[in-house]
Amino acid sequence: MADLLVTEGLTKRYGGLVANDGVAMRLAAGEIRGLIGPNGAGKTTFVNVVTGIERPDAGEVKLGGAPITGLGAHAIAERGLVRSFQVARVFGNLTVHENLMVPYFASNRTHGTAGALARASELLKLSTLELMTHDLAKSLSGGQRMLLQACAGFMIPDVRVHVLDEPFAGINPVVKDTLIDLILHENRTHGAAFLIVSHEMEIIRRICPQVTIMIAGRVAAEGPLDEIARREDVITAYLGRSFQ
Amino acid sequence: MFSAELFTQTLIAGLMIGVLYALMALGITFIYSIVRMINWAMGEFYMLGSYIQYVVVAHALGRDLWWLAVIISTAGTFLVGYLLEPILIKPMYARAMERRDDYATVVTIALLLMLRSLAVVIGGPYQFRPETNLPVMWVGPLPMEGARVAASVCALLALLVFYLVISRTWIGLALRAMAQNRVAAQTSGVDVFRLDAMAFAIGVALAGLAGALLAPLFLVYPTNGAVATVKGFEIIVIGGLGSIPGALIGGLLLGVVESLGAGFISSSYQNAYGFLLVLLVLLVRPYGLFGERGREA
Repeated sequence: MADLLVTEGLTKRYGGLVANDGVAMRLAAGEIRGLIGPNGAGKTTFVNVVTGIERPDAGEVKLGGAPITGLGAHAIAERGLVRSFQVARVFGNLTVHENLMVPYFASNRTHGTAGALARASELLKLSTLELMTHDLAKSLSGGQRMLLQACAGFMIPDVRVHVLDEPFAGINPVVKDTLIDLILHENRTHGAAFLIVSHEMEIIRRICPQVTIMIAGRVAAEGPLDEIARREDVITAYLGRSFQ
Repeated sequence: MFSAELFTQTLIAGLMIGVLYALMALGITFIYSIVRMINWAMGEFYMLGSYIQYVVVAHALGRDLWWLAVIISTAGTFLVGYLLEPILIKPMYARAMERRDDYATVVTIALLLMLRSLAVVIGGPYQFRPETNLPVMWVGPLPMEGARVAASVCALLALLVFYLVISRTWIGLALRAMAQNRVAAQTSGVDVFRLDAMAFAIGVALAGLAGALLAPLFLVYPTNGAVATVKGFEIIVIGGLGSIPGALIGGLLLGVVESLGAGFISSSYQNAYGFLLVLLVLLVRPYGLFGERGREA
């Protein structure tokens, strides 16, 4: 399958700290990829640089063959690359339904609103947020906000890649399962690719055939999780070197 | 001497001017909520609106078409704001800037000085008064200058239009989203820079409208925006920065307090009563009547 999202030599420095050091990665269309690594490995920096929240110091990002390096976040979203945040960024004083309509209207498509409304109610059903449609988003729990944030991303027309930063962190197991189902459903019905940053190895094993592991700002390995997890350097990075 | 009738009259007069104060405060708070900056040149956009009103009435349309001149003044101020924002304000976001507040403060104070000086250069240090064709009107038992009544009614209409745009249109939805979380709006695909310009222009247009409406009453001269700015910020402190209901209620409250103070205590301290109100609010609720202690992340 053709590579949809490609990064080459992506580098980001904060003063003397090299957070991302020449990261090269390829994500195929329709793939669900896990991005793992110990804390401080540069996963979130990578996500920020790819999605236009921050500018890289060097390197290139391509989406479907076209360069998107250094474009603004909204321009990148328009081209079909959308992200979620570790702490769900929902609009607290808008209703759940309004939260879903913001990304749709922002795409400047004022025709086909009926379709968008249908899609919104489909997503609300899948995410079990249906009963809270007209509640303000600030009344939702942390997990429900995560679901809402993910759904808001799915409302943007023609998204090709969803980048989810720690979507499962700190949310209860039921909501976790709902979110997993939502991701799989979105992947199957719309063919959207996912790049999922997470520390939840069980979930990653379940839904990501391939994972990429980052260590100290670089891509250390790629492959199925169980294969990678046996590698010496990966174990060392996570657990430290033994005294032997 | 206190009478119920006099009290009612003073109250009505206060509410009528309060609507215009609210317009000014709404502009400040709206720009703050969206663009995340304090526009210190707000009064100069008030001044700009009043000058356009005078020029259009005196040299083009005449006094019978004062209402059309008001629309032109508002649109003119909107346009100036829309063109200036990308040049002056946008660099604050386009480049990763460390001290955005300082930048915005310096830029808008420079703009304030520039616009005032420009007014002196073009019109001289004189006072002008655009005419209207409005006769004295009776508001209940109270005779009032027609221009004052018209100003209140137009301001009320403008507030209504503003409310409808914000609550019913998709641009309003995007603006509300942006006010709550700029980055999330951006990642939802909202073109925040375009809406910055839009919000800035709407905010200054509200000031321009107030200037055009009040020009026949408070006259047109290079520094006539100073009082408007001060009142606007008084209201922001009273109502709470970033709160739209706060701007509206605070505006009405300030109008009423000033009017009652002037009517029943002494009219020479009219501008001081507002400051007393500010002090009182700061003592009881330092974040303003409708302000939040902290913003939700």
